[in-house]
Amino acid sequence: MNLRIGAFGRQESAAIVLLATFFSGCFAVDSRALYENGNASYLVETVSVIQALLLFEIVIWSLRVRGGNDLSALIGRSRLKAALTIPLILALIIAAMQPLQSFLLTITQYVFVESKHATVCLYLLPCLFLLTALGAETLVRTARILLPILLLSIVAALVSGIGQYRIYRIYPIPIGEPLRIFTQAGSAEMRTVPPLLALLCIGEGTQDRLAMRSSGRIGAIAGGLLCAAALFALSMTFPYSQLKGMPTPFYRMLVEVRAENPTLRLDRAVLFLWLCGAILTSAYYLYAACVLFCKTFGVRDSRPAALCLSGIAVTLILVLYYDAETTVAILRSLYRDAWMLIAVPIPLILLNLKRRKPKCAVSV
Amino acid sequence: MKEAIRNLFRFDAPYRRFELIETESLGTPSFFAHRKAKKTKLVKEHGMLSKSLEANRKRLSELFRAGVNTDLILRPVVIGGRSNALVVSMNGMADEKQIADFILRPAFQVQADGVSASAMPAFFREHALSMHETELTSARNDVICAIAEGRTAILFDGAGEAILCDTRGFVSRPVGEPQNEMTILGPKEAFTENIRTNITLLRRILKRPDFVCEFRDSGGTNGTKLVLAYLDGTVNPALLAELKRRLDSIATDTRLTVGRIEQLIEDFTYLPLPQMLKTERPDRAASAVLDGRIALLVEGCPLAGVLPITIGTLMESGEDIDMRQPVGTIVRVIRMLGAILSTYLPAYFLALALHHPGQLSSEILETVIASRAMVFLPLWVEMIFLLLVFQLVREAGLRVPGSIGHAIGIIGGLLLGQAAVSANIVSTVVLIIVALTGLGNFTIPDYSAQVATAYYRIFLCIAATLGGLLGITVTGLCATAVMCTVKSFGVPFFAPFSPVTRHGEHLLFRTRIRNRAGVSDWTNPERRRA
Repeated sequence: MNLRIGAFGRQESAAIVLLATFFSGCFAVDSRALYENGNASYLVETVSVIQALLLFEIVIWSLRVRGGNDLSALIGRSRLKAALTIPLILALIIAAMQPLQSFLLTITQYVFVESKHATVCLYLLPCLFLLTALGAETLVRTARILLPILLLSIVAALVSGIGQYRIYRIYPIPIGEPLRIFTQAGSAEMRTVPPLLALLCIGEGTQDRLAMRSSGRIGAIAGGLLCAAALFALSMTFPYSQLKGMPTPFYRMLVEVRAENPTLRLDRAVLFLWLCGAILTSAYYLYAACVLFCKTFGVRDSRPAALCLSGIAVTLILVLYYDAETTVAILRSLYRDAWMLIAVPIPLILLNLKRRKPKCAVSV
Repeated sequence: MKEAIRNLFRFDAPYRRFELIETESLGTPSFFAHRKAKKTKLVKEHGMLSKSLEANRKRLSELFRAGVNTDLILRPVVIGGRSNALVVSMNGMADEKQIADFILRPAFQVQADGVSASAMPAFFREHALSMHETELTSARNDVICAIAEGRTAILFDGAGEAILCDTRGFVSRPVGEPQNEMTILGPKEAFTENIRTNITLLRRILKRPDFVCEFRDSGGTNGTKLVLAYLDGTVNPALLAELKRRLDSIATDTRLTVGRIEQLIEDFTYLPLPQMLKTERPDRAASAVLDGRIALLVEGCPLAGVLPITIGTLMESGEDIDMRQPVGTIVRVIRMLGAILSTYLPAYFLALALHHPGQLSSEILETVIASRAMVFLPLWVEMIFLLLVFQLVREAGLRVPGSIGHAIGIIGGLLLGQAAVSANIVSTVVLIIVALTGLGNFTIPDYSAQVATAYYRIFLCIAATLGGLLGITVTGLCATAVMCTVKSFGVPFFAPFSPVTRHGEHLLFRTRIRNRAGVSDWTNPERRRA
């Protein structure tokens, strides 16, 4: 099996969970639904993270009882393996689409105003595929490398916006309606559960169930707190009526800061820095979906699945953005150059025929 | 002349031009090239020495092509007036004075009454030979290698054994100052081409009984000597075993150097960044050995390869540790900023100027527009052109001897730049950015990393031209991910930062010297294991 899970430590796995929780929670928000009845996004996020952690603990407990290091070990004993796995894979693909779609909207709305959605997608697809194909070890290590820079940029964004914060903007708080908060938190599970679900899928790489549990807890709690802080800052920056319909309000906050202080012209650089986090998050979910798929259906290599799932995710983003007719038109225009897709692999296959045997390690 | 003119008009003139590829036995050419010839393996001598001196003499003469190869000296002697022997050495490689004083003179003076022919080698070695390093062998290949190395072999009639005496006395360069890794506070010695001298330089620093210099024959046909220098009991045995396995798998006809060996045994061949540190400083190699790593010395190469490495190793200078801690930290931060600036500044400027001009202040934008008013090249072509010119000047400066090399740098930097601005080929703003980039690039201490960064920068510029900040982001993220995948002999490239290890020297901040007790744990050395 060449699933490229590898082996990694607690800090690295906590880093990817943290980033995924933050980027899913802060940048994949359905702002219309979230801010419909007031400004309680930070409460909703906190409750949602707690709910996700409870689910995570239940799965970890089940793993301890049944024995196994990852989710597929748990599913593997079920007779309805495929029936259980496919919804999870779909959920991960949808979770992967969310932050990317949100950034695509922001980029086409604020940065490349005249560009088409599909053009921007063309840049993202190779990167998404490469990250997904390189495997879990690469993903978590890249997350660990980028984490300090991303945290610094997020904290700097929160601090630089202090001048804009007005406490009266957080009203109305639907604190008197706990049921609504719980309901919203339940629907926000699609943002807070996938980071932990993906960790469960690649649990084999954490080398130990306890390590997986602690890194999941630390990552989810830290990411949830950071996300709640960011959403609270947003609530103090914009009234909830404005927040409804903003694609990435967190970036919008930076733009407001820049409007106040024109010497700080780093908003776009920061946006693209955050895009790294979003791509990493999406690749993490897609890779987890690949692993789940490969383990369930006995596929030995994760790379073909990585290519397929990255393609599916990007195509679905396009379908959701354009109507079906436009997407079909885009795909038809691609047919003209589709011969390349057939021509390109042929030399690769021929080269592969004379491939060297991989070096194997020596045990001492 | 007359012959040439006549041949020009004579269509039946015989084909007399000397050609190798077209006429020799490579077979029918295919569309792209001639068929690849089958590799012939050089058969090593595996036999034992014969008891007959004449047979041994004939075989050696045959192997060394003594008929044409006049360097081989075969000196017959009669030891103790009764035993025929042959002293074999290579002219120029062996010290004649040592042979005359310590081999030939005792051979004529020794009394060997009652010693049988088969016991003569041992008797001569113990009672007559006044040399320090001698060895008895019966393998023919050992004799051949020893002669080729400059040692002297004494072969005896009636004994299937030979004595190998260390008489190496060839000329070699004395220990000089490092040319590429100059320091102000550190030592001023550099490795030479002589492997023995290099070992001595290391041993002078590492005065420990557990410091091992393991000699090995490199793979391939040339049989170059390699030395693995490490601390036994400290180095990770799995790392050592894996390195030996990879060295054993080398099969090449080329001359081996540290750089070539690196390429033959590394995991990621297409990565531009090096996976082994090549240093000319013995103190740096010794520090790495003390840290539980392995230094690889190669005969004829004035560099030591240190492995495994991380990104921190490539960004470290030899004298970092000699500086005071705050100063060392500041220097490291400046170096890191220089590296980041040199990598991303041209691409960032291109992205802002071409795709996001709103991110530049109106003053800067006006300056850029004014400086480019008469320049006819597009901005991205201008940037890439200047970056390539910078590489050109740099390569030219490196390849020509000392003072002329400096002059080329000055001519390239000042005159060419000034002339290019005057001729409206480039703008001053772009020139300043390329100059800053060049300066930043020189802050990267490792030469291979400098070159890798220089070409990655051009790639980034193309990405920035195509996609602005989006292009830079995507390319940068892919490059980071690939670097996170890379492992130098099993150690991830970003260790000890990612994966985190307990005893990690920080990439940016230099730790206090008193906190650096013991060995770094990112190679999982034996001494630090629980």
